[in-house]
This record gives sequence, structure tokens and C-alpha cells, in this order.
Amino acid sequence: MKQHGGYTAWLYALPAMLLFTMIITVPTVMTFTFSLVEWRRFQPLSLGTIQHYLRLPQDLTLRRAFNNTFVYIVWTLVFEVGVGLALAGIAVQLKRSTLFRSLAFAPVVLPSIVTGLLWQQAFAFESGLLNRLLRVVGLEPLRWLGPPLTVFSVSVVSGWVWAGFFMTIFYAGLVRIPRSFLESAVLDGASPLHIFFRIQIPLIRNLLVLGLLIVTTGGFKGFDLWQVMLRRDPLESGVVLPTYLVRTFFENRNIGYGSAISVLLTVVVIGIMGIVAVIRRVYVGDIEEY
Amino acid sequence: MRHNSARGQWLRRLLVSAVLIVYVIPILWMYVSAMRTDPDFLARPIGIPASLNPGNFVRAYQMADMTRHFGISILVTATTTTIVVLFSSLAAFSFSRLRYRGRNILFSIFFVGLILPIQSFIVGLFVLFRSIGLLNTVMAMILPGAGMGLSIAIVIMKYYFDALPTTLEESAYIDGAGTFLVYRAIVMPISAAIVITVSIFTTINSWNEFLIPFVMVQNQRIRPLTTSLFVFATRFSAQYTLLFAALCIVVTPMFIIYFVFQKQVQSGITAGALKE
Repeated sequence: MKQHGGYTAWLYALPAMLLFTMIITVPTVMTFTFSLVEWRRFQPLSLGTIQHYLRLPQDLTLRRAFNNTFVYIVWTLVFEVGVGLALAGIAVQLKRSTLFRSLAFAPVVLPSIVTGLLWQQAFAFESGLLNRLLRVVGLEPLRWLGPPLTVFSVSVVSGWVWAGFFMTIFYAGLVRIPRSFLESAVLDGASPLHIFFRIQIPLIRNLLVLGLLIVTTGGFKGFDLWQVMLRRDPLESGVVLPTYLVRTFFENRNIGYGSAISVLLTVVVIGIMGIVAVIRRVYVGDIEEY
Repeated sequence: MRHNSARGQWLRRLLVSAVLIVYVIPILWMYVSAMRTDPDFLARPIGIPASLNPGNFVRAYQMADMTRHFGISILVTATTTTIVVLFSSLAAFSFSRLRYRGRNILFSIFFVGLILPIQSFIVGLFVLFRSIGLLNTVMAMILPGAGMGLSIAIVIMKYYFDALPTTLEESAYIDGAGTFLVYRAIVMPISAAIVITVSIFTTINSWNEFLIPFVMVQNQRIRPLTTSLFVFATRFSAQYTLLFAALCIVVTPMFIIYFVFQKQVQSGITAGALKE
């Protein structure tokens, strides 16, 4: 490509740059600054305090939010990545899997408000689908959206939504594996499960690490389902960082502390990305291009 | 590869049916419950309903003021997607096709947008929009939605443009074409596929966006479908079947669009989510 554009070339990037600066850069810098300011409601008093950060380690609700997030991440690794992998494993075995894959992917398209409200109804104690099914088989009904099940139940819904997404990614990886790899294993008498765990899964381990990245960072970003399904959660048994942030800032009008939580969340998410990048380098290495 | 023993067949069918049940039953339950009366639903939430009547749909549509909120959602989504496609294709064109000092630095700035979650800047965003008087306007949904959609769109389009052959452009430049003509008449037309992909995931993200309108818009008149449904559900939480009907109204057009364009939607969303 030769020299094209000259003095006006950068103008093409200008609209995007301006919008990006207005929506991402400036507000991020503002948030970080706010966390170092002492506030009275929306009035800044003085700059250069670290009191908000000193408050973080003593905050019991914040600690619960972290706990819940870790539990949620563990469960969603099972319900999103694990189930997604199983679904992909089933899909590659089918002669025609289009309908199967389309159905499993469908919840991804739905607005989380709809998924959240639908499942809140399904979890309802008296009139919910799940408790009715439990009664039909003669079991006691459960309080799905209360402790100790709160986080587990939200994870189930996350799995219902996102397993199909991970299935799609893993499926795309599995069908790219050349037939010859698998045929020689079949000739050696390997069982389908053996082939799946020993050959197919290791060959898509780059995608599994990607799943790990999405799920671990997603645990610190997800807001909608928690907000929608746990509208009635007086004990805050299902508090997570994003909902706690919104509550601190938008309901309690605590702008300095809200910003400090925001910074903490940012640091955690970027830290996880760093860790996963290391895992990828060590575990995936130069995965063979096939 | 395929395991064709009788036992394998049977097991496979069982697994597939189990999976389908898990996905279909909640949706089916939603549609059936929406057509029942509250007493009938409360007496037997599952099982054969006493009667089916579609009156709840009409009531839910009117009580939730769906025409208005559908309209707001369409306005916000269409504007957001237009801005994202226009701005990001222009920027990606310049990053991929034009040579100027600092272009790689400018491009790398957009990678920051792939890393930062919305929680990193939502507080500042709220305060900024409050101080410039844009809170509680449609702009408070359109601009943040578009700004957040730019990064992934620019990265995807830039790499797509990089892979395109340049021979057509070279001959156009020799014939005296300017850069904008090359962008408009050559690069964009042959990039229809990626424009569609970017449009699809931007549209779906914007249509489903919850946190931005939840935080930025408190005015009921301009709430999009998502947060208006949240308010509706809080107000009528005791009217179960009405709520189900409202959910059905919101979901049905999406299901139709999804099953018509399922291939494009699936690849569009996976492309949009694979922020690497």
C-alpha cells in the first residue's frame, strides 16, 4: 500500500476517537479520580484521600460479594463451559445437529430481563415450575432464590443462557479437527468417550482457556440477572460486585466509595486477564494449526 | 467416528431429548401460562390448563404501553447501530488502508475498550452526562451504547480490511479517485459480510442492553423495552399470567427473527463476544 490520505487521513478515525474519548476514556479517568476525593453527596470536598480504599477491606458486604462471585464463577464453569462442552460433544455425534444447536443457542439472543423474569417465575416457591415438578415426584419444595441456594440458582440460569454459546464455539473447534486424527484412534479400538477426552478436548484447549477467560471475567461483570431475579433479596444473600457498585453509587449516593469499588473491580478484571494470558502461554503454547 | 451400536444410538437419543426438554419446557410453560387466568395458574402451575384465552396478550400490551417502549427500543437500537457501523468502518478503513503517523497508537487505544468492563466508567459516565444535561434523554442510551460498541467493531473490521486484496483500490487511485471514494465505492461494498456481522451483534447488544438505561434513564416515557419490563414486573408482580403475556410479546418477534437468520446471528454473536 502506498501513501494515501496525507493530512486528512486521520480525520477518518476522528468521529470514533471523539466518541470513544467521551464514553470510555474521560469517564474512566473521572471514576478513578472520584475514588480519591472526599464527597458530601455530589459536592467534592477535597482531593487526595485514600479513605475509600481503607474502607474496602473492612466492608462485610463487599466480602460477601466477592465470595458470591467466586462461587458463581465455579458454578458457571460447570454450567456454562462444562455443559457447553458436553453439548458440543453430543452435537458432533449427530448426523443433523442444526436444530439441536439452534435451540441450545436461542437463549443467548434473549434479553436478560426476559430470561431473569421467566426464571424468577420458574423458581417461585408456590407457583414455580421447579417446585411443582419436585412435588410431582414427591420431594419437598425449595427456596431457590434464598440462601443457601441463591448463587447456585442464578448460576443455573446463566448456564441455561450461555451453555449454548460455548457449545457453538467448541463445536466450531471440534469440526475443524481432521478426520484422520480420529480414524486412527478408532482403528486402535478407542471408545468414543476416550476419543472425546483424550483427543478432541486437548485439541481445542485454546478454546477452553478462552471459556475460562470469559467466565472468570464475566463473573465480575454480570449485573442483569442478579438485579432482575433478586429484586426481593432483603438479606443480600446474592449480592455481587456489579450490583453492590450500583447500589452504593446510585441508591446510597456514595460517589467516592462507589468509585473505589469500581477501581477495585477494574483491577481484578485486568488481573484475571493477565493470569489467563499466562495460563494460555504455558498450557496452550503453540497449538498445532490443523 | 460415529458410534453406531444400538446402545450408543439409544443413549444419544436420550441425551438429545433431555437437552431439548431443558430448553423447550420453560419457554412452553411461559406461552401456556400467559394464556391462563391467575386462579387457574395458581391452582395448577403445570399440567393441562382449564382453558386457553389470548386476552392477556392484549391487556399486557396495553398496560405495559408496549407501542411506546418498542418504539424507543427501535429508535435507540437503529441509531446506535448506524453510528457504530459508520464510525467504526471509517476508523478501520483509515487504520488498515491509510498511512499516517500515530495510526497504530490510535488503533491500540481501542483495545483498551475491549478490556474495560462497563463498571470501570459507569460512575463517571453518569456524572458526565448529568453535568452536560443529557441524563434522561435517548442520547444517554445511544451515545454510551455506541461508544462501547466501537472497540470490537473497529478491531474486527480492521483485520477484515487487512485481509482484502488492494489491487482494485490501486487502480482506482491511479485513475485519480480520492480516499473517500475508495472507502465508499470499493472497500465498503466488498465488505458487506463483515458489515452485516457487526450490525447483527451491535443490534442485539443494543436491543438487550439493561444496565445503561437502568442507570441513565429514570423517565418512564423514554424507557426502552428492557427497563420498562423491569418496572412493569415490579408493579404487577402479583399478576403472574399478565407478566408471562408481556414476556411472550417481547420474545416472540425475537424468536422469529432468530430462527430465520439463525446462521448469521450465531456467527455474529460469537464473533462479537470473542474479544481477544
